[in-house]
Amino acid sequence: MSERSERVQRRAQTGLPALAIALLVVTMVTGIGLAMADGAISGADREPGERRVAVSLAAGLIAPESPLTERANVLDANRLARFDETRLRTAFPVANETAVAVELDGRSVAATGETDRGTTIRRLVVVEEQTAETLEPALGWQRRVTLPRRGYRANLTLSPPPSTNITAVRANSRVALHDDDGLSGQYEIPLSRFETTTVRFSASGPLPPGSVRIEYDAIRTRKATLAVSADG
Amino acid sequence: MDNRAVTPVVEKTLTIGIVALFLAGMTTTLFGGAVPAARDATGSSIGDRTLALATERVEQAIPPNASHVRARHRVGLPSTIRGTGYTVRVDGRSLVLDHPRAAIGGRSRLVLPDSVIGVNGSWQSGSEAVVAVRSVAGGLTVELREGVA
Repeated sequence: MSERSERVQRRAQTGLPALAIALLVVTMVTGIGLAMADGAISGADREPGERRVAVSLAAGLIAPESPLTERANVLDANRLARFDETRLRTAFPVANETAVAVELDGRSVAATGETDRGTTIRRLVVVEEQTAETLEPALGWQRRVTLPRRGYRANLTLSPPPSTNITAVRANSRVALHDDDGLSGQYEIPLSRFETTTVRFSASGPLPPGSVRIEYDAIRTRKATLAVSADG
Repeated sequence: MDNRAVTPVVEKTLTIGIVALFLAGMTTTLFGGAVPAARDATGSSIGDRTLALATERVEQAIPPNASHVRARHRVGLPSTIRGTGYTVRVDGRSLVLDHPRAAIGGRSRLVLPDSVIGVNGSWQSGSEAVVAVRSVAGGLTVELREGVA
């Protein structure tokens, strides 16, 4: 074989490198396509399960039947303070299967696991705090006193001087207690949560300060954000 | 120099061989691994969503504190996932999605008030899925049934 014939043979196979390059390009494009499809699939994964758990748990926590609420959307501060992981697991068994965390205004209420990378659902709620306040009014000539806060009920302790008979106690012109022989001792009267109450006393003689003591429910409400997170 | 005319034939034969091998390899890779994996991934994602939707619809079907209840709600579910039918059934107080592919399926716990005393029934995909809530002595029962709402 001469040097010339060798050169001719090499020149005859020039199509092969071009083919190799073409195949390489096709492979690369396919690979990139697959990677993009993978990215699109994983990017579209929105964890519907944990989102569903967070939404349901938030709805369950603020429902009227919830162990936390006084009525729909109103949380009771005392029950909220007693609420913990065990109570959460008992009332909502879904917390056993998914790590959830309940926070009120950023302060943790109960948690069953780490939820840093989870889904969080926020709900606006009212937190109601009931405290008992005592009032020992100096009754004026009208013998009435207006309770500074609205509440569900009031406890009256009546200890009039011996010469005086308290015959009736009215709450907003409704007769709450009545006895012609004289009222004395402890009584509980129901009140309306929707209007401010004025308590009026009818007595046969003088009522010096200290003869009437009223203990009433003071309801304080504040708005708060309940955040429920779920992960896994 | 007599065999010079053979070189184009050799080249074409080589090219045909290489392209055929390449196509075979590519087809095997795509249809043996990548494509089924992607279908499984999308199928499992759609399965999760279907299950979450079904659970949410069942929870929403329960009315707030009421004494006498008779409610029916239609639930729109996809008729197939990854080309095959599936079943949504009740297991205790959870919903379970059963699919012939192992990669697709799941289980989700229902968040129900204490007034619900029983959950039962199942849905076969493709039929009309209905949640029926009824008052019975002592609480409410929830039934997944097929048919007209």
